[in-house]
Amino acid sequence: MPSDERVVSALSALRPAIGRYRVAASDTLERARAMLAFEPGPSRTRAALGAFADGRIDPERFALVSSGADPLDVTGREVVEHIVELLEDILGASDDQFFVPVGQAGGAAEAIRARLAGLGTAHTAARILDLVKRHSYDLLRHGSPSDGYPFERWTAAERALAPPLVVRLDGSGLDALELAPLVDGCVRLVLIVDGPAAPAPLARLVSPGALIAQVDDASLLAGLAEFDGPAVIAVMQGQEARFVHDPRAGSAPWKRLRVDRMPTVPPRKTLGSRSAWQQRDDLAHLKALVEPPSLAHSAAGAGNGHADPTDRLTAWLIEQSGQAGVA
Amino acid sequence: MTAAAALLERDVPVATRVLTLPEHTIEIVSDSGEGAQKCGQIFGAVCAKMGNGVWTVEIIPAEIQPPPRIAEGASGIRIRFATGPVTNWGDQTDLVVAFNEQVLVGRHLLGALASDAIILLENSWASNPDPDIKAAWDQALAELSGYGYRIIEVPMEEQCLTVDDNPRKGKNMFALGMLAYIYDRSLERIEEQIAYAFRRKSEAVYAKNVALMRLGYGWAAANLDFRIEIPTTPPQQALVVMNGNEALGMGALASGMELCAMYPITPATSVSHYLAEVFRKFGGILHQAEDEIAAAGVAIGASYAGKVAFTITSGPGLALKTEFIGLAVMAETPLVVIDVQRGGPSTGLPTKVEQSDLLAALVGQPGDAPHVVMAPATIEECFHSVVTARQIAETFHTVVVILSDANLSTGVQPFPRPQLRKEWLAPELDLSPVEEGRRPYEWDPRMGTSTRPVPGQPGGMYTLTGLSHDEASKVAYDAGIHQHSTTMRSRKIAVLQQTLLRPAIYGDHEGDLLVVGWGSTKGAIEEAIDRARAEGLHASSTHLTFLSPLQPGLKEIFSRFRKVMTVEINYSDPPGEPFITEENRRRGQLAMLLRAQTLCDVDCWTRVPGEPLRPGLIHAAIRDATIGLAGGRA
Amino acid sequence: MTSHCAILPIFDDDEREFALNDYEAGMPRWCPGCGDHSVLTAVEKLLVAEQLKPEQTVFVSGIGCSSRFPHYLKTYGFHGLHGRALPVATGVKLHRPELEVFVVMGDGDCCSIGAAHWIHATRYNMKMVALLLDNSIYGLTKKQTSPTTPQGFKTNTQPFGTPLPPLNPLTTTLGTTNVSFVAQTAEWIPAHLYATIRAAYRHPGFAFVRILQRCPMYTEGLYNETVKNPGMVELLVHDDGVVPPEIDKIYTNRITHDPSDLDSARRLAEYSDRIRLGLFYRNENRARYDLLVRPPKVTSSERIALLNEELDHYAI
Repeated sequence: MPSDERVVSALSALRPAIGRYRVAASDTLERARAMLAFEPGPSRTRAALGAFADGRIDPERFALVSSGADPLDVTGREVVEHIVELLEDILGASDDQFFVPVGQAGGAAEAIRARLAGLGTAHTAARILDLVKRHSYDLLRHGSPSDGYPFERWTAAERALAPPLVVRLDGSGLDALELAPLVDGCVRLVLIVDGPAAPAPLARLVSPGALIAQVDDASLLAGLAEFDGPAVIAVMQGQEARFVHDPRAGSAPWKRLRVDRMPTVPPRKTLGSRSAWQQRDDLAHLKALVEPPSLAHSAAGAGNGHADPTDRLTAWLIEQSGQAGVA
Repeated sequence: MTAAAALLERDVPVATRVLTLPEHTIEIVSDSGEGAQKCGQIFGAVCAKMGNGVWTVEIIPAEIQPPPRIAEGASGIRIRFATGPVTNWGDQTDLVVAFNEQVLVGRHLLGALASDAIILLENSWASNPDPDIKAAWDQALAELSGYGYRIIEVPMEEQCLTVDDNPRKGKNMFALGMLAYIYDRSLERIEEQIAYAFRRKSEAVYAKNVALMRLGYGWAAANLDFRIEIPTTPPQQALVVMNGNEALGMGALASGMELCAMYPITPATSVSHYLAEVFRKFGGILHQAEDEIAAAGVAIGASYAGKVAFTITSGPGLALKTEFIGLAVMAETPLVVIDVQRGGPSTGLPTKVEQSDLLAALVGQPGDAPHVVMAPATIEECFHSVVTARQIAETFHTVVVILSDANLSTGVQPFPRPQLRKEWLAPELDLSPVEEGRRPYEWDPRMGTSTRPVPGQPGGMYTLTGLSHDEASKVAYDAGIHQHSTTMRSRKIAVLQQTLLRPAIYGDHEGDLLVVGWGSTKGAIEEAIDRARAEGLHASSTHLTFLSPLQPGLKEIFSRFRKVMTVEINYSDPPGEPFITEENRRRGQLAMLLRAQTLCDVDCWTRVPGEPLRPGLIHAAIRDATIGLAGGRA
Repeated sequence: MTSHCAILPIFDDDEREFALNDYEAGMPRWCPGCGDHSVLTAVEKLLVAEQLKPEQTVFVSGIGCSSRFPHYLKTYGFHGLHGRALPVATGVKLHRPELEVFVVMGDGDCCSIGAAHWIHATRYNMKMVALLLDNSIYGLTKKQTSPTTPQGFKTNTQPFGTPLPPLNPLTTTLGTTNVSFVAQTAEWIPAHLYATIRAAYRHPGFAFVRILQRCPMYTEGLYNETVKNPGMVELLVHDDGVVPPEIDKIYTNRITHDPSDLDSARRLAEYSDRIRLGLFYRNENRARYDLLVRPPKVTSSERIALLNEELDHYAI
C-alpha cells in the first residue's frame, strides 16, 4: 500500500467505485470459467435440475431440449483460458493497481491512459467472450485479450464501469486540459498534488455533468460514492483556490459551484505549462461561473435595460437547451 | 448431563418408572401469545439435534388474538418425535402440557388426545377468585375425568412467580424444563437453543428464561413418578431443520432468482418474511406489491426483462393472478408461482391446510393455457422444488406452479443439508446481439420451444403481446396461425412430459389397492400403507410430483391393482350421502384429473378437516376400501 | 499497445446514430385523425433527439387503442393486459434499472381498471415516463363510458348520458403521496406535446403526462371549441416549466405557476372552463423506490457462500 496518507484515504474514498469495477470483472471471470466448465449433456442437466428432479426427470432427455449452447472449440478454449488468467491477475492484485505515481517527470495524462488501457482488459475480456460464444472471434481482427484497451475506444457502458484512479503528481505537471478527454462515464480521478500548482487548474474542467473539485483533504470525498457521473478531484497543499462543483447541487452553474477559497495574491509566474495570464484567466473563469447572472431569472421580464447582454444570452441558451430545471 | 445430574441430586422422587417407547407425540397448548410455540420449537430442535426423527406443526387458532380461555382459542404446537424418521404429524397426542383447562377441552373435543394421554395442567385456575373461572374449571375437569387421561395438576404460575412477576410470561420455559426432564433431553443443548431463540434479546432475558426452564426441570424431577425414553440415533449426515416456507424461500435463493413480487396472504406470507430479511444481500428484491394482480405483473415484467422471477400466494391470490398467468403462458414468459394452499373457497380457512387449488392451478385460466404444475411432498422438497421449477420455467419458457400447503408451511422437519451447486443458479443474462433474422417465437416445430430475446440484446427487439401472434410476435388473427401457435405452446408441455420418469411405487407393484396422493399427505399416506401392509392388506401407494404434465405410465400402473383410490385434503361427495349417485358424485380433484387422463375408474377418499390428514384415518379408509376386493386379507 | 484490432460493430455500440427509421415499425393502424398518431410522432422525435438505444428501451402498454403503441416502434415492447401496464413496467425497471421505460395507457386502462396501480406507481416514483392517452372514451370496444367521459355525454353503456362528473386524472395524481411530476398537454399542439414528453423523459422519477385527445370516431367534438379557439387554453408558464417558444404567439393566455408549488398545482388542476396545459408539478427530490430497493450485485460464488451461511443457522 502506498505510504502517503492522502493516497490511502483517497483509495478508501474510492472503494465503492473500485468495488463496482471488481464486481464487473469478477462477473466476466465467472462467465469465462462457466464457459470452460460448460459441458452440455446429461450430467450438467442433472446438476442444474437439482435434487427434486432425481428419479423424476430423465436428464438425458431433458438435455436434448435444454442444451442450447455448444461447447468451446480449441482456439476458443485457449483464449478463454487466457482471459481467466488475466482477470485472476486483476482481481488478485491489491488496490495499488488503482494508484498511479507520476512524480516529477510529468506526463500524468499519459500515465493515466496507460493504466486505464491496462485495467480495460476487464472490458476487452467481456467483449471477446461474446465473440467466442458466437464463434466469431478472430485473433487478427480482434486482437488478444492482453492487448490493452485505449480509453478512446471504450463504450458508454464501459466508461460507466471505469476503474477509479488515484494519481500522485507534481503541482507543476497538473494540466487539466490533458485530462479533459477522460471526463466521461463514471471515470473518477483523484489527483494527489505535491508542491505548488496553478491556482485553479481544474476550473477548465467544470461542465454541467462533472463533479470537479479542489480540496484540502481526501476525506472530503465521502459524497463521491453516490455521485453518478465523471469526477476529477485535486487534493492540494498550497494556497490554490478551493472549490467544489457538484452537478447535484442545482441546475445553474452558480448553484452547482461552491468556492471556499480564492488565492489572495494573483499568480505572476509561469508554472509548468501554464503562463501567468492563463492562471489568472482560470481564476476569472471560476469567478464568472460562481456569479449568478442578475437577469437569468426574468429573461422575458421587463426592465432589463441594464442587463449584461451576455447574461441574457446565457439565460436564453440555458432555456433553449432544456437544461433549466433539468438534472 | 452434569447440570441435569446436579438438579437430580437435589430432589429425586421416590420411584421413577422409565418407559422406553419408539415414538411419542406431545402438545403444548395455551392461549394465544403465551409462547407455547417457542417452547415447542426449542424442544423439537433439541430432539432433532439429539438424533430423533421430528415433525413439528403449529396449532393456530383462526383469530389472531382470540379471547382467553376458550376452547376454540387453543394455540400451540404439536411435536411428534421418534427413534426413526417421522414424516407427518401422526394421529393423537400422548402427552399434553396445557396452560388452562379450556384450551385442553378444545383439543379433547377435536379428538386430538390419545385415550391414555398424560396431561400436565396448570392448576392456578382451580383457586381463581373469579367464581365463573372456578366453575369452568370444575366443569371441565368433571368432563375430562370420564376418559382414560392421566391428569397431573402443576402449579406452573405459582412456581414461575418465584422467578418472574408476570404470571403470563415464563410458563413456556417452565413447560420446556418439564419436558426436558421427562424425555431426558440434554440441558446444554436446551440452553444453547434458548440462547439462539432469544439471540436478539438481552443477556438478562436469556438468563431468566434459563432459570424458568431449570425451575420446570427441578419441579418435574421432584414431583413426577415417570420418565419416557425415546432412544436417539445420532444423525449420520449433516442436517438442517426448518419449516416449509423457509425451505421455499431458501430454495428460491438457491435457484438464483432475483425478484419476488408478492402481496401478503396467509399462509404464504412467511416465505416473504424470510426473504425480506436476507434477499437483498443475495442481490434480490422482495417487492410487496399493491395487490395480488400487481404482484404477478411485476414478476412477469421482471421475467420478461431478465432472469425468471417468482410470486408467492395462496388460493384467493391465485384466483386474482389468473389473467396474468394466462398472459405469461400466451407470451411464453417464464414465471414461477408458489401457491401455499389453504382451505377454500373464498377466504375459507386462512390458516388451515387444504389441497383444493389443484384444478384452479391446472386449468384456472380461460383459454387454452397449458403450463406446469408440481407439488413438493416434504419440507426438503419445498427447498429443492424451486430450483427445478426455475430450470423448467427457463428451459420451456413456461409458467411453473408449485403447490405447497399450510401443512408444509408450518411443519418443521430435519432433512439432509442441501449440497449447493452453482449449476442451480440462474446464469447471468446473455445480452449478446441476436442473430439477424431471428424471430422471438421461432418455434421448433418438433419441440414447440422457441427463443426468448431479452431487452438489452441488440437486434432482438420485439413487442410481446397477449394477443394471438405469429413467430415474429406480430398480432395475428389468422385462424391458421392461432391453431399453430396454440399447438406449439401445448407441444412443449408434451415434450416436458416425455422427459419425466414413471412415479415410484411405495409397496408392491401390484395388489388390491393403490392409493394415489400428491403434496403434503405423502408421509401420512405411506405410514398408513405401512400399517395396512403390517396387518396383511395388499395396499401400495404412489405419490404424484408432477400434476401437469402427469408423469408417464399411470394407466399401466393402475392396471396392476384391483382398485385405485386417491387420498386428498379436498372435498368429494361421500358415496351413500343423500342424493349422491355414481353419476352426480363430485370426486377429489386429483381423482377427477386421473379419471379424465387415464379412463380408469379412480375412486377417492378425501376430507377437509382443516388439519393435516391423520395416518390412522387413512389407514381406516384403506381397510374400508379393500373390503370385498378379491385379494382380500392375506 | 496494439491498435490493429478492427472492432466488430457490436463494439462500436456508441457510434451508432439512430434516425427516425431506426425506431419506426410499420404503419399504425389507428383511425385517421386519432390523437395517438401525434403522440407517436412526438415520442419518435424524442427517441431520435435523445438517441435512445432501441434495445435498451422498453415501451409497456395495457389494452386499448393506444396500447397498440409499442407495436409501432422498433424498441422492445410489452403489450400486456388491460389496466396492468404499470405493474409490468415496475417489474422491468426493478430488475433491469438500466433500461429506459415508457408506459402508454389509455383512460380506461389507467384510471379505471388499473387505478390501483396508477396510485401506487405514482407513490413508488420509479424512473419512467407514464403517458396517459386520454380521449375520454373506450374506443377499441366501441364507445363505452370511461372515467373521464364528460358528464351527460351519451355512450353505448350510458345512452341517456354519463351520470357522473368525470374523474380528474391530474388532481388524483397530484393528491398521491410522493408524486413527483405531473403535466398536461394536448395532442393538437405538437410543440407543447413534444416539449412535455421531453421534460418527462428527463425527470428523475415517475413522470405522469396526461395527453388530451379526441377520438375521431366517438369523441370527435370533445375539444372542438378549444382546438378552434386558442383562447380557451391557459398555458402554465415558469422558468422551470415547459414553455415551447413556438406557441408563444398562438397561446397567449398564461398563468405563471411555479412547478415546485404543490398547493397551487392542485388548485390549477381542478376542472375549469378553460383547458390548462403545462407542467403542474415537479419535484426531483422525492424518494425513489427503484433506488431505495436496488440490491448489490452478487456473484455466484458469493451467493453459494451466503446460502451456506444461511444453512448454518438452520443446521443441527
